[in-house]
Amino acid sequence: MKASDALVRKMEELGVEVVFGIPGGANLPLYDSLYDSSIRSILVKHEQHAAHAAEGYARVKRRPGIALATSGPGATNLITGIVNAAMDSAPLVAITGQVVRSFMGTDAFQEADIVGMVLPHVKYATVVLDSSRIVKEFVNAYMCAATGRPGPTLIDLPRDVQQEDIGEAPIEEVAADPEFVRSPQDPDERSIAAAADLIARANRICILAGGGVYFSDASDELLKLAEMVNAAVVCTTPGKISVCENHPNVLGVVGMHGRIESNTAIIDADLVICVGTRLSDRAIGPAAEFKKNRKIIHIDIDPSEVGKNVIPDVGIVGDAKKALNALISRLSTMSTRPRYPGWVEGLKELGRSFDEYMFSQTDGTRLSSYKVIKIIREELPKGAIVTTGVGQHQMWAQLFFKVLEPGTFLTSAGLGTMGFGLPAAMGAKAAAPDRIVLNMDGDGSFLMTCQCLGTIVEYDYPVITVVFDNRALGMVRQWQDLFYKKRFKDVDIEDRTNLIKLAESFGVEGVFVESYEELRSALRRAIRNDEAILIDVPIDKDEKVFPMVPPGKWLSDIILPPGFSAYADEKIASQAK
Amino acid sequence: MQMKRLRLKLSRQYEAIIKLLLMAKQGRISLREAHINSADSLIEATLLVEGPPAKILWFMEKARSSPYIKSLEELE
Repeated sequence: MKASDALVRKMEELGVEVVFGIPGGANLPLYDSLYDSSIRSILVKHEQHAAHAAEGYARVKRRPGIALATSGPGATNLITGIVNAAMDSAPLVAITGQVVRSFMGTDAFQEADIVGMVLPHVKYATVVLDSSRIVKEFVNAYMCAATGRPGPTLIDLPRDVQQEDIGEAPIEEVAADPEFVRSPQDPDERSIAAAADLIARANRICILAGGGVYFSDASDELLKLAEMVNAAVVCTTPGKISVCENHPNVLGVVGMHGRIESNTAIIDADLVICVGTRLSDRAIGPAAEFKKNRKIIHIDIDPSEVGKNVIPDVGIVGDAKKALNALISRLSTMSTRPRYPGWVEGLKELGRSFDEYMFSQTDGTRLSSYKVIKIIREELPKGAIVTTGVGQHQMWAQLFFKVLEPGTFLTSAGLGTMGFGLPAAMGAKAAAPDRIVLNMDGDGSFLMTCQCLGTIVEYDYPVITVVFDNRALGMVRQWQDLFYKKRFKDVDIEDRTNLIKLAESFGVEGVFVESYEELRSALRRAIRNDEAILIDVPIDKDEKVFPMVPPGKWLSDIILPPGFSAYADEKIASQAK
Repeated sequence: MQMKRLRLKLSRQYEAIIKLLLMAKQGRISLREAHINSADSLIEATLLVEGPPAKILWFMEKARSSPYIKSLEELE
């Protein structure tokens, strides 16, 4: 049997349904093997799309997505997507072709040391030089990507290795080596007891949910704990996938562009329970300030994360679901002190005031982003999946789009990869063809991977794309406005790209909307018919994302939307009367 | 600052050595000594690392969870 045939058979056995990629000289044997396979292969327009689509698929399915590329530029084009998956802990297996073994090291045509390039950012990468190991290495890479803290892996396959005959090896018996499937340790009982003691003594508890909660399928346990101890629940940007934001204890995203009530919850809390998060600066600000005046419990499956950015009072290494269950069961046997009963409700009220204020603002000459997002939420079914690009629209989405089901908000958080949204949406649609998938994008972000429109048409993955079109690199522009004395440099896009015609050239209907009613109508039609559409929404380039915590500052240094403080004061005064 | 001497067994591939050094680089710990020997089906490495205790602990945990690293022990 040809080695690549064996590999594809093993992929089928492991349940691989779809792969995203582009064939080339060095991975032709693998593509030839896919010809006779049940695995659907999606020909993308650029390998970066393959990696993002595989990540979108992986996030929805909670199992590895597969990206294929040929050697040299094919492989290097995957890198952004691979690093993106690493930063957001998504399971992804990249399979790259390589020049034949006798040419390796000669700077042969399309030769690149892809393993050397990705090694800092992957859990595992290797060049398979022995064809009899091809199945084993794939299984190792696949299981490694999925086990413990998820992440990307890569196997690099020289063309001659792929096409070598490996005999009739018993493929079914090939399993991963033990070091690739190291089970996370069970939460230590003493740590659970210490954490329970801290919880029992705390007055105002805030739970900070990261993306690990979703991958551990621990959303229910997290909310159960929150209800049990009347905790406020906030989330990181990748953690937005983990919680339902209509739950009475859930406030929303925290951090640089976090919601007012979420940042206030962290500031006010005397105990923060951090679950499945690496506690990045973007979420918590300076670690020293975060540590000040409050106790910290940190639960994470990756032991190297506990104490990396913030040294917790109690660290619990283990799977979030198991750790939360252990905590709940421990707490149920303890008497805990009464907590400030109105604390969470007070924070919720602050959030409602923020929404009321924002939605009461008069529009300028164009549509307001947050109102557009509100309409999108109102029109989408509860289980619809939303992806985003990166930039202002992404921050507006994290502020104003309410996640109603775990697993329905996919964004590029850690790496902040512009162009992530559309290919990730395609991957999500491949994983969940029966669900509506909508990509919120900025014009700058969309134009980085817009050719993916062609792929979604070709393979019938109808994705709705809403472009927040301000003809600017809005977030960079906002920083130049606030921190560089309005010296706008290379942020205004003065070209005349017609997004409607662009969409139509790929076979996707394009609609330019000039009112909220037109937006609603276009969305309703696309949702009803489950059809691909691009909705171009003109927004004002001077519109900013608020709240904002300036870089390097603590959450209390938050810049609020102009006029909000006076509005809130007035509201409190009128309520007091 | 703390110094630790570590003995590691790695899978026998270049990537294992490179990944180990990359982890030390990411952790921003100093590598005072590194002895690397190829032995049968494995690579043995003895490292003398220096850095803040939390960083060294991070490096050790990171290494222990890597599939390239078969075992890690502190020598002193």
